[in-house]
This record gives sequence, C-alpha cells and structure tokens, in this order.
Amino acid sequence: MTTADDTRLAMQGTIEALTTGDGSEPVVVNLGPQHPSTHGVFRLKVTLDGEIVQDAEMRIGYLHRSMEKLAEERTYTQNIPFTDRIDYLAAMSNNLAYCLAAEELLGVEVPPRANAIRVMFAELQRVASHAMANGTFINDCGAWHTPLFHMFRDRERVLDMFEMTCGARLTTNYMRIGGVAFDLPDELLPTLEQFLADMPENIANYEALLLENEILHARARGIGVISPEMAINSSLSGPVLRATGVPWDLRKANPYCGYEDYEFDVPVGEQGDCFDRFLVRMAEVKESLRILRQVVDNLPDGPWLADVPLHARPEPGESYARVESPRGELGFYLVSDGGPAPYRFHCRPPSLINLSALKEMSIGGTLADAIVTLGSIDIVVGEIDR
Amino acid sequence: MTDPAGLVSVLGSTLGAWYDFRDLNNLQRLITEWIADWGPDWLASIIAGVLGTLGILGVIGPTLLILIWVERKVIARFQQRYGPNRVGPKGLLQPVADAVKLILKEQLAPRAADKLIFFLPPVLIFVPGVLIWGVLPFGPRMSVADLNVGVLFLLAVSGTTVLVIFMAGWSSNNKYALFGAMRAVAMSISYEVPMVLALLTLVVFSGTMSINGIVQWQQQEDVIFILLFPLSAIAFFFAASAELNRTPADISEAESEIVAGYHTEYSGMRFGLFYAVELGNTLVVSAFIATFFLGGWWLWGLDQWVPSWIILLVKTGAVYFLLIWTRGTLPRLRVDQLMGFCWKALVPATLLFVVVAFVERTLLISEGWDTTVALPVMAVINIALTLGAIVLFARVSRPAPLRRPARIRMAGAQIGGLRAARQVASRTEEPQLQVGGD
Amino acid sequence: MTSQYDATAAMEIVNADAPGAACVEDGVLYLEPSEVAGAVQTLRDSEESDLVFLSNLTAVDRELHFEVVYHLQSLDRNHLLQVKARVTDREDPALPSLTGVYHGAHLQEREVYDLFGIRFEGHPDLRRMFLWDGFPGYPLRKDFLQMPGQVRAGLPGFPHESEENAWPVPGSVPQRPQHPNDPQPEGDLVVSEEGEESS
Repeated sequence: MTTADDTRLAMQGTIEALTTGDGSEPVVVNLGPQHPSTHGVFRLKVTLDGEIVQDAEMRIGYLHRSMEKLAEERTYTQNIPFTDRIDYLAAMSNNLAYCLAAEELLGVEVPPRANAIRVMFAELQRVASHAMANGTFINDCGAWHTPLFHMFRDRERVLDMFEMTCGARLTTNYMRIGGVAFDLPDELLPTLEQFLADMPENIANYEALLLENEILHARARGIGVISPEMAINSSLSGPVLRATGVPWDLRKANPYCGYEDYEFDVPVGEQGDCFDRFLVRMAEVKESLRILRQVVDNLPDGPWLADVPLHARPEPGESYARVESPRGELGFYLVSDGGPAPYRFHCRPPSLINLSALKEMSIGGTLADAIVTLGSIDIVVGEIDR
Repeated sequence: MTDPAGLVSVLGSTLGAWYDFRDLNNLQRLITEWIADWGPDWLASIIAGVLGTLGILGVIGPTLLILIWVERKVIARFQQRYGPNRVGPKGLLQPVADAVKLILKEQLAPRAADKLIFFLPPVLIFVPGVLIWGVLPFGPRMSVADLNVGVLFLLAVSGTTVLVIFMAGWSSNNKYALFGAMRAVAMSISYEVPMVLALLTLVVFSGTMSINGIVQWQQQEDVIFILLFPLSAIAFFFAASAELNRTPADISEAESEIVAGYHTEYSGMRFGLFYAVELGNTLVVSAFIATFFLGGWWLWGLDQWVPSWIILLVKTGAVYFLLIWTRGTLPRLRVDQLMGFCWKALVPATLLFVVVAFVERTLLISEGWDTTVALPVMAVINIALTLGAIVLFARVSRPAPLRRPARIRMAGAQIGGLRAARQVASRTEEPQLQVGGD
Repeated sequence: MTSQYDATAAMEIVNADAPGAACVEDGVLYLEPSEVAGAVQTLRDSEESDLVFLSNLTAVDRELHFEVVYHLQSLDRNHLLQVKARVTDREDPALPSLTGVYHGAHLQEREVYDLFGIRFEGHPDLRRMFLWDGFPGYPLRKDFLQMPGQVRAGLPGFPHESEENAWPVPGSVPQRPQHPNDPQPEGDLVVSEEGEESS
C-alpha cells in the first residue's frame, strides 16, 4: 500500500468519524402527539443527524374512534353526524360525500335547490378550510400568528354563516340523504353577499403580505418537493397533487351536485414544493368565490329535501362516491346487505393518504423543513385516524 | 447651569438650587456628597452603587410590566384582535395577573434533570440582564458606571447570557431544550461577530470606547450614526434581534419546531424569569440601538428642554416598536439560512464598513477635513454603499430554487393526469400568477 | 364525467398477460388472489386501461371470506375500475401487497391489516397503524363483537372507587407516551394486564 493510499484512507476515516461519527449516534425526536405544529394528536418520529432528517416515521391512532365499526350499527341517516367528526375542519364536504354515496345506493334524485345549496356550502367550507390551512402553514414557517389570525377572520365569517343556517359551526350535520336539512334562512344571502364583496380585498391583503415575502420563499421553495409521477403513484390528491402540475380535480373530472354548470378553473402549480401548495390553495379560494358568486346569482327555488324515509333500506349493493374536499379526494365506500344500516362503511381519507409520501418528502431536509412539509400537506387528524 | 425652561427653574428654585429635574444624577450626587461629609469614602461608593441599581430596577420593573402590555396590544392590533382588555382598565393589569399566576403555579423539574444546573439558570440569567443597564447613559452624567471601555463591557456581559441558556437547555434533559440550546449557542457565537464589527465602526469613527463618549461625539458633530453607517445599524439591529431570539431569528425557541427551546421544561415563575429577562433584554437592546445609532439622550438641542432620559425612552420605544413590528410580520428563517446570512452577508458587509470607517476617520484626522462638509458627503457615500451591498447580496445569495419564479397556471379544459399536466405546462400564455424569481 | 371502465375489457388485458388471473362476475372484475399484484400492474401499465391512480383500497368481511376492494382510476382517460379479490382463509388471510405497484398502497394496506388482519405479503412495513401491537382481534371483522379475553376497553370504573380501577397499575411504568424525555419504545405501546408498558 502506498503512502498516498494511507493518507487517503486516514482522511476517509476522519471524514467518516466527523460525519457519521465514532460514538456519535443520530437523535430520535418525537414531534407530537402534543406538539404545536402537528395540528392535533399526531406523532412524527424523526431521526436526526444534527438538524438533518434521516428518517421520518409517523405514529398515528391517538384519535382513532372506530367510526367505520360504529357506522355499521346505525342507520344511514344516523351516520351523517359521524362524517362531521371525521374531518372536523371540512364537515360540510364530508357530509356531502357520504350523502352522495348513500344517495347512489338508494337511487335518490336530489332537487336542484338542494344541489345549489350543497355547492354553496361545500365551497364556503373550502374557503374556511383553506384559510385554516394557509394560516397554520405560515405559522409552521415561523410567523408569529399574524397571517393566521387574519385568515381566521374570514373563517369566522364562514362559520357564522354555518351557524345561521344549521345552528352549528364546526360539526354541521347539515346535509341529508336527498338534500339538505333546512332551507337557507333569510339573513344568509345578504351576509354571503357582504362576504363575497369583502373577500377580494382581504385576499389582496394576504397576497401583499405573503406572496413576495423573501423569508417565506426561502422557507418553502424547493422544500418537500415531489414529482408528478411520484405524486400520482402515491395516490396524493387535492392541492398536494395539483401543486405538482397534475390538473386533477373531481369537480371537473367527475362533476357532482351540478358543478358542471358553474364556471371555474383549476389552478395547478409547477414545482410540487410547499410554496406551490400554498399558492394553489390561495388560488383555489378565489375560484371558490367565483363559484359562490354564480350559485348566489342562480339559486333555484323549490324543495330542498327529497322524500327519503328515515330508515331507508337500500337494495343490496355497493357505492363509491367521491368529492373534491379541501384536502383532496374524499370518498365513501358503502356496502349494503339490504338492511337499514350499512354493511360496510369506509371512508377514503385524503389526509391519511396524502401522508404516503411524507417520508420521501422529509428525508434529507432539516427538522424545520419537515415541519413545513407537514404543514403544507394540511392534515386533519380526525380524518387520519377516524 | 443656565436654565432655559422656565417651569423647571421655578421648580428648581422651589425645591432648592441643587435640584435639576432633567438630571436625576444630581440627586444621587448630593446624597453621596452628604454621606462623604461624615462617613468613610467606601460607604459613599457602596451607597451610590446601591442607589443606582435600585433606580435602574425601579425603572425597569414597572417598564417591563407596561411593555408586556404594550407588546401584546400592538401584536393584537397587527392581528386584528383586541388583545388583553379584561384585567384592570384597558387590560393594563394583565401582566400583573400573569405574574401572579406564574408565581402561584407549581414549579416542576424533570426527574432526570441535572438538578443544580437546572435550578441556576433562571437566577443567573438575571445577572447579565441587569449588569448591562449599568453602562447605559440616560443623560450626560446619568449612568451607573461610565466606563471608558463601555462598549467592551457591553459585549462581554451580553456574551455570557448564552452560557446560561446552554446550562438551561443541557440540564433539562429534554431533546427540544437541547436543540434549542445548541441552536442558541451556534447563533450567539455567529452573531457576536457582526455585532462587534458593527460597533467597531462606531468606535473607530468616534475614537472612543465609552458609550457616553459615542453619544457625545454624535452631539458634537450634530449627526446620528444611523445616517453615517446605516449598514452597521441594520446589521446591529438584525444581530441583536437574533441574540434576543425574536423572529425572524427565534430559532432557539422556534415554537413550531422545538416547542419552547431551552426553556421547555421550566414552569411557573422559573419560566416567568426567563420571560422577564428576555423582555428586559429586548428593552435594553432597544435602548442601546437608540444610544449608538440614534443619538441616545441627545436630540439636536431638545435635550436642553426635555429631560434627557425621556428622550432616550422615546427613542427606545421607537426601536422597540420596530422589534415588535418585525416579530409580528415576518416568518422565521431556518437555522442554516440564519447562519449563512450571518457569515455570508453580515460579516463581510460590516467588515467592509470597518474599513470604510478607518479610511474616513483617517481623512478627517490626518487630512484635517472640515467635518461640516465632510460628514454629509460621507453619509451620502455610505448610504449608497449600503444600498449597493444590500442589492448585491440579494442578487448573489439567492439559492437556486428561488431564482425561478413560482407559477400558478389554470388547467382550463385540460383535466387529467400526466398527459394533461404536460399540456398545461407547455402552454405559452402568461401564467395566472407568477411570484418571486430574479 | 368519470366513466366506469368495462370489467370485461380489463379482464382481457389481464388474461392476455397471465391467463386465468381475472374473471368477471356480475360486472365486477375479480382477480385471482395470488395474481393480484401482477394483474394490477398490467392494468396500470397498459396503454388502454391506464389505471395509474389507486383511489381506494379497503376490505369487506363477507363472513365466509374477505373481499379486498381496489378502486383504480385513470386520470388521463378518466375512468374508474373496481377490482376485487377474495381471501378465503379466515384464520390466516393473506394477499400479495400492491406496494410495489402503487406507493399509495402503503398506508391503506396497513389500515386493512390493522382492522381486518389481512396480511399483505411483500409489504415492507406491515404493522398495526391505529391500534397497538397486541390489540386483541381485528375490529372490523364481523365476528368482532366484543374484545376477546374479557378485556374491556377503558377502565372498569372510576379510580377512586376501587384499587383495581387504578391506571396505570402501581409498579408498572407510568410513561407518558408523548414525552420527549422518555425512553423511545422500540415497538408501539401495548396494554397488558399490568397496564401500559412498552413492548
């Protein structure tokens, strides 16, 4: 062995000792279940080499309430409140997806006014949910709650409208099989008009505050990148998928509740990083407002609930209905054996499945990047665990 | 001393000729002189020191309570909230209620903590926090210790805080705390350098290391240092906010990452002490920024009319508001970005300005240039240099992902998978939204 | 509008590659359990079917057998295909894993394993997801009426009523699972009769 080889090996040894370390070992840190940035009881176990994430593993189940088993004991109508509690930040979307699945099973025709109301509340829910998602995302980037509180102001107004209509703000239990539970109250439409009039200015304010913020760019650009191929293969959906550039939106691809009658566009990103997810959500809020404008202008009259027996017994069969919830593709798979309760009740939770690629997105970045990535995926733990 | 303020002279004649409202130091001097008349010299110095300390603590304590309220109210206004408004008039007693709550709370210590080292930091952290106030000049003769190496003292004392923080983080036996402490140490060591360099420009230019001397230099030359060395001021402001763990540099307490950093395990009043010292340090740093760069107790002759310490407090408040403002607006930088910013941007830039200061000082002294003409010219040159440095840094330092703009396109009729994605991406029309990029 | 992909066409695509791997019953494509991964990969890679997106993966307990249901979606062609596979062995149900075909099957297969007890062979990280290792039984099976072994969920009563109700039992390790100070358990937390401890 030559001297040069000796030197090289010695150098290599030193470098190894410095990087992987003799006697040093990676640190395992639990982020969660109670942690300011996990948005609920979610535990991310990261293995760190210094600040660099070597491995990220999620431990979930802290909020598991066995909804799917419970739902097998209750009638189709009684199951609607469960769906609120699956994704409590988008209760209306969950109500809607479940009711669509049940209606498909029962063969119920929904009156046009009910469809318009459903679209209205699904889009309001999207505005509220994206406000929450973007606000907490900026918080995860380290802002001191300022954008969050500004966006919460909009969300509050949406929740006020929910309360006005169905008496509940979060777990709305508003949709019914065959329509919606109540007609719109008289004061809703003026409130909504005012909301639609105020929102453009608010959004302009957020954009002025956030879009060109260099620190936000530095924190979110090129972080948590995922390619479109990998995103599709990982079954990602919603803004996480669209941020990679894949224009897949069930409201366009498989219109339900008459979405085909409304004019709106599907924003897609380019890089598939955290910042694109944030931008896609910002753009989607604007599109939601466009849809809301059209719904308000073309609200049909008529009944808001089809005549469906409370203890409906569908024919044996199965149905799989999906909606574009704020978090992505939300599906309900129902199997009926002819009884009054579903034989099988399964929810396809976008929050859980969007986490499929979390490990791939986080490894190699820093701890702070993993937090930002998790925030940009926008999870709701109630939906992950069910 | 001639007294231009009529009211003050009336008051002065009423209370006795020795009493000048504008300079509280007179009061203390009188007391010490009176003691020196009958007592030994050492007693007078001790009593003078105790009086000064009590005076400072008496000012800081209530000011801190008010500042907590101010900060919460201001942040609340940024966030479209009301802020505290329940306890006392306008919520003014909220900090008192908080303090009472913290004192009554149980103080927990992790079983596996290193007990002695765990108990010490909340106490020890007070020492530099209070010592720093000693060299702050509230007026021409109003500082507890007008050291001729005041700048050195300031840097030395403020540098010890990090040791206490590391003790707290290490002894907690908590990974979040350890991470916070490690980050605090790394950041503190890094940001000391631009801080020292920023102050070095002033020391070089004014030719004194006495803090009061620096203020008096500004008074003599009728100029404040932020006009002469804006980049040093910016660097000092950023370095100080990093040392203070305030956003955008609060990585050692980054809430969304490591919960509360080094004081995660401290509860009750122990946490309260950390919090109080942090606020106190924020105040004292604002005061020093005001002193070094905004002229301290001097304000173009107004200090003849208004008590000098009130001028300093107003300037301090302005800087403090700026600190609250940045905190309320900006997200947090990542650890490596923060370090990179320090070593790649602040250190070279401040170093450049040290050289500039040397050159300009040499021109002033050896060439004997007229300061009334030379200083404005130098100010203009330095401001131009500062802007140039900032623009250059913004151009050069951007990492690759930021060089491309982020674009949002509308899918239009193309709905689908990869094929549709390619079609959307290959469209030539203007994207719906385009932000960032060079 | 998303159309339903014709099951017969899908069967032809699959059987061209692996004869006998697929059959159609009542308009639903059923796959031979051993051939699931290969057949789904064929459907994914085929130009015609283009089922690149695993929309949903779940199971149904049909009492005599398990039915694993896959919803496969083509994004560009915008059609959906429902695929089923029957698992007849109730004692040790097993099926090839789809993780090699769809990365998105990872979590969904773990969920099915957790709640139905169907093993997915070839899954790189098949552990219980919502429930802890050692949880008795698989809740979504139809024969899971109550927890076996008289283990009841929750406490038998309020702790102050009786010593027996104290939790965790004195002498066991009163670890909070979430505290960063605690030693990191290798596996998940299990509830034994002594209370909570790490495996």
